[in-house]
Amino acid sequence: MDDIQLVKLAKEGDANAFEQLLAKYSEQLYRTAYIYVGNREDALDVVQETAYQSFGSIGKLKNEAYFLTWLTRILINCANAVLKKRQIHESIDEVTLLVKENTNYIEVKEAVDQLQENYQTAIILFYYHDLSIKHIAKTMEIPENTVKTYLSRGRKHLKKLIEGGFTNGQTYIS
Amino acid sequence: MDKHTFRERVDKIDIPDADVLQAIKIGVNRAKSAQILPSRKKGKIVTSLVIAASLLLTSSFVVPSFSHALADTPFIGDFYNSFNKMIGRNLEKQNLVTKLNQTATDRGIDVKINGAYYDGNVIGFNFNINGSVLKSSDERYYAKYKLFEGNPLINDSIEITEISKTKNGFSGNIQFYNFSKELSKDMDIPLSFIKIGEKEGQWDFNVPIQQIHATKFLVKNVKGKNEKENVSINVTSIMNGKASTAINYQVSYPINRNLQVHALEVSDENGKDIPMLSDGVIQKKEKNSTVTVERRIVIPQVLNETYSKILVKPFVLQNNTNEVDFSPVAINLEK
Repeated sequence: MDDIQLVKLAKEGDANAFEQLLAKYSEQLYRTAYIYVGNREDALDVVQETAYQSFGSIGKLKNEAYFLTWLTRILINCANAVLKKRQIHESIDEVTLLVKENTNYIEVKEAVDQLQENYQTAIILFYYHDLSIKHIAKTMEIPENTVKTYLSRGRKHLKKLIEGGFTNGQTYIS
Repeated sequence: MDKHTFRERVDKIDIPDADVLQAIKIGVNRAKSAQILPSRKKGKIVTSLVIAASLLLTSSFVVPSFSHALADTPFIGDFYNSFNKMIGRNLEKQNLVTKLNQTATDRGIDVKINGAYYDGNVIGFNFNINGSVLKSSDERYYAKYKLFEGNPLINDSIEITEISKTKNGFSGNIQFYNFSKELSKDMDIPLSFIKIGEKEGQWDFNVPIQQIHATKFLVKNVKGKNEKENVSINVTSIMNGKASTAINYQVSYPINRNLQVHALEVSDENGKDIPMLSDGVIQKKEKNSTVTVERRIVIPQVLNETYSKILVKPFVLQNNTNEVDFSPVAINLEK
């Protein structure tokens, strides 16, 4: 059964069909959540919350073809909600955990973290989700030209951050 | 950085497949059963704090009927002879206590760690002691121990536990709760007995534990507020272990009103208390004249096996005397 059929069934309230859909994209969902939140527990929370919110509101999805775009938008909102909460409750434990969990990945994570939120999302959707400019524009609800600007600026700054263009403690301000 | 490199690096993020699928399943099930929460039930819940405090103080606290019933249970009764050892006993029945055989000897006394458990929320060790152990002045037998080398930043890192005389010596159990924000999956816990009976000494162990999978349910819109004192509660998640339940919650209150958050009171939907084992602080933050305390309460039973709905409210005192009034808020428990 293809995605569109599964989405149609899910819209009629078929939970199994919806679970199948999410399971199909589970790796992508988890890794995207992880890029944002940086640890396993929070990433799983984001996935759970995304499943909860998306199944609860799938009836509102007008065009089945945009399911993944729509789902990704929900996931990003959920991840941002976790980050927002964390701004209040940031703890040393979490930072330690992050460093321990995946040292190979920390370099990218740190760099992406330092990007402005909009650049961050554009970069993740383009580089990791392989979304087209058009799809990114739809996901972020911004014009395509703005996506191009975000990507261009985001890329430049990501490059500088990873290749050491900025000194420690210096972050990019648009 | 090119797209390929970015992707290659992101692909290095390990995926806990089973946990991700479970998170999806739980999220979908939550959505399926999501109903608007019933209006708050008015009424006073009898405080369970006094009972709970007794349970926390020492493992020597024994509810007579439980003690008697458990003592009749062969083997298990030796270790889990008090109410607050229900979790260990329950896990033993489910064959979820890992058998160990670590020994240490000092001052003519042998200590052997027989088993360990970590049900997702609660960590426990079972041990035997052989040798000459002297009674305390209250006619009971005790062992004093340190966890994590007695780290003062960890609650109850130096404690005394009562040990029970058996046919072949003594047996005992140590149980504690993990109040770190993230619950580690595997750990080696440094444990040292420093006094057994009246003898001081050193019996050192490094006890390996592995977390038995716990299911986490995020909780939405379980909030309450006392408008007058500007104290609010927000329940954030529930962790179901194999023999216990942990509820994570936050209480926020103004910094300058001399308010103290003591615990969460949990009851069934008829207002009957559900006893807890422990309620502690995960972290505390102050921002813009508001204190936000994140806390975790541990209950010695898997709540969603018995209840479909519970009521909770924070037990908050002002000036350590006057209770801040709260209407209980309901939580629908997912299966």
